[in-house]
Amino acid sequence: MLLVQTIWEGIVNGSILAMIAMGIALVWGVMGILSFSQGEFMMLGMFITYYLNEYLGLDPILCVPIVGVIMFGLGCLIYRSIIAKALRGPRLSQRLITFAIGMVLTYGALMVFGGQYRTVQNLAFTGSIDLGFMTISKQKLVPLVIALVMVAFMYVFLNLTRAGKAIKAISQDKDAAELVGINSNVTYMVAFGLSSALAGIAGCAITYYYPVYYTAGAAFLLFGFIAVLLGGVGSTAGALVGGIIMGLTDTISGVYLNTAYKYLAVCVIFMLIVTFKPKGLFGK
Amino acid sequence: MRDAIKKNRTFFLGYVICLAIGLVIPGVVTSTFAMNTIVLSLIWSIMGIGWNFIGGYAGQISNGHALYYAIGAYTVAICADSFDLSPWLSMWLGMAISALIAFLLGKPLLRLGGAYFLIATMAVAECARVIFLNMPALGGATGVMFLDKVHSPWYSLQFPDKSTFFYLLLVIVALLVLLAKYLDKSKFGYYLRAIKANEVSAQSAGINTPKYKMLAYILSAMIVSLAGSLYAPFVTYVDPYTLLPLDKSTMICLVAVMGGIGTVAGPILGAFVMTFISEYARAIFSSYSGLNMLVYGIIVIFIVLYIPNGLISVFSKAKLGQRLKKALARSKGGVR
Amino acid sequence: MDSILQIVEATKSFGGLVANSGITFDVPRHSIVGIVGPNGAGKTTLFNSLSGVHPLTSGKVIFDGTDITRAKAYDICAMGMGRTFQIPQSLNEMTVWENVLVACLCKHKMGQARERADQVLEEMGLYDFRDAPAGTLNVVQKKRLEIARAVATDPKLLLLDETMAGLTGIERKEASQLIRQLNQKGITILMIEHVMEIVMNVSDKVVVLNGGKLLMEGTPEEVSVDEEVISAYLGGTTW
Repeated sequence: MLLVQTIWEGIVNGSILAMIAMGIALVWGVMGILSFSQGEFMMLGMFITYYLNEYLGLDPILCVPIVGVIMFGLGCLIYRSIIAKALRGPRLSQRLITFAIGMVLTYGALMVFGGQYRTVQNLAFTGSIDLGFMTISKQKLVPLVIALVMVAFMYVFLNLTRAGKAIKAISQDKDAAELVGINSNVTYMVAFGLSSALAGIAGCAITYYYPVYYTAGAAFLLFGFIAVLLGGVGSTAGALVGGIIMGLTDTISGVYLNTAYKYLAVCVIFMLIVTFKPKGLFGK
Repeated sequence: MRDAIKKNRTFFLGYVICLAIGLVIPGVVTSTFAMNTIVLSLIWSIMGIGWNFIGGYAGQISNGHALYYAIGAYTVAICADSFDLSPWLSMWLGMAISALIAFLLGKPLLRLGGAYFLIATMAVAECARVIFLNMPALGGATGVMFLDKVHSPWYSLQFPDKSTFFYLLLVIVALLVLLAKYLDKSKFGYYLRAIKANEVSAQSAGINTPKYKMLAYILSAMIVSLAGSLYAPFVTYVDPYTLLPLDKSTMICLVAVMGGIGTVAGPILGAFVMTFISEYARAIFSSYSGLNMLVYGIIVIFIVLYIPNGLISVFSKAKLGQRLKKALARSKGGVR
Repeated sequence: MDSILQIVEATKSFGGLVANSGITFDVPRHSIVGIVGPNGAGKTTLFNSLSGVHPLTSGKVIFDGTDITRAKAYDICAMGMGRTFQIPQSLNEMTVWENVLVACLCKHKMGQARERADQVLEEMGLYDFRDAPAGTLNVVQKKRLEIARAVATDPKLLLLDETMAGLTGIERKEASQLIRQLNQKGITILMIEHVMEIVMNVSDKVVVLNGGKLLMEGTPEEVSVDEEVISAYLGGTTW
């Protein structure tokens, strides 16, 4: 029954990765930037949740909209002040700028919040549900539900709203989208803001079972990148599936192989998929 | 030879001036901290020069070169610790191992282009870190200490005074610069630039692109490995946390990009500027942990935003502008 | 007659889409052969298959006695087949001279290649732009650079993909003169061209493709009176 339990944990971890992956895929699809600061946006989401919880007693579930709004605002601000300017430069510089933004956020967090590990104390749901063949920890069920709601939200947003359709149009064909009157600058900003909000909410959700510290986000970045490639750049469904595959690979190989080799397992899966499906599982 | 010097007068003038400054540095610089920083800058220069071949010339952005840095450093450390071997020998062994691993990894990795290559190299370096952390034979998380009090400094490369080691590094960097300068205007250099510019077009001009990408990858791996082999005896210990932190590979790339990729002098300029910023920020803000890296990050953002082609472009911008103006004037003249 | 290039039953499909099927024809040595056909006839796809960019799904390409069906683009170039691209693929960040130099390095050592590059630029009338970045050239100049780069690889056979599109009348005349000159130097030429009057004027032989298939081949005179060809072109392009 260990396997069932492991698969469950993998899906939970995967759903968090999926949120980060969706954010990465969004920025990549719309403006062609591989964003290295996504892990740090997640970390900020974790700290905001921690402090809301510590001082106002808000459960992380209630923090989701607050974190979303704050991180969206921060994302838009960063886009306006830095990214928009960097878009005129070479592609490599754009990547390095997001890396440097991540650095500023990480060490800014270290200075402001300190370097110790913290855990969110006041949780509405604790304990577990015993299903007989497996136990479901409520502390893991909540993040999964948050992630699924966010995926559904993104799906609806991208396919049914005007702003979402604009984002889709731009990632498919920028010039044509501009011809039909879509303002790419505003759309870029919204996309960047959304991607940081997604990462922030991932951070918010994960505080239910994961410690909060200033480098917590960095570890998720690489897995997020790989999840995007697995799913296919620019596909929401792909990011979800890619994230879950990564979560499963990570957890299963961590349990059945030496933890040390889970990275190897991830690498092997990555190489297999890009060799046989170079555009990802859902790529066109 | 004389012809080559004549054609590249500016380069050789700068080269000689830099060497001359280098020769007097140990006499002028008295602070150990400054000397340390200069030595580190030279080691970063070697890394920058190495990365520049695959990332700067061939345009294949590797985000995993810390792997080769670690291989170079670990080879020297283990050879010294277990077999009493001098770095003079083991650095070649390190380069050979790096070349072999680069060859094996390069086969699948180099087929991936752009961001895929970047992410894959990043994943490989992460794997390597975990392997180094968990292999008892490699010292695991504690790494390998190999302070040598038995052999002469010229055998162990562990010099009590920084200036001898500085001169040694100066010679190595000077030689690597000559190599880079030679390759810059060679068939190899032009082929790599062509691959960066347009791979399909390069193939149709008869360039065996997989072969040249592989050569560039192996060469860059070997040079970065050499940097690791020189760093190890300087600090006399190796461990996965200092050699292979998550962002090490990106820092290698950063040094080259800050200086100016695809140029001979760029990586060195970048290495010196970035190392000085990071070391002095660390010293100045020592009471606030994190502030040094924060400052470093902000400076990177500013350089990338306002000098997107690297610090070196500040020196050649005027020249480039002239060239562009001339070209524009000509095409307006209606010559077909 | 001696053929430099033999194409046998060339078929190329992308997934379910068949772009070329069962195309067979020869290119006689030292001749100029024109390929015509409406848009989507599979002309550029055929070039990509010949030059190793997208190898054939089935069929054979024999170049100068060697089977090159599965050969790589760079090996084909080294064997003596040069090509241009319909959309110029210049190396934009490099100078015009460097663009040509890179191609010259295919057959020459560095020292010779430098001289040869200058010589090619001179011949192609691009010497004035020697040190300009290729990205700053206009479309006409870029097309010229495209030919220069192909010529610089010292080809026995030169594939030209719509090098005249977008040129004015005088420029076209110059270009066709250039093609004749190259041919007189012993280079066999296989060209895709939309501008009929030029194909008919310059070519020794014309191959007509339609819908990925060979419609007919023959002398320009034969082709121009063929009813099938005329009907394929009706409602089509410049005739």
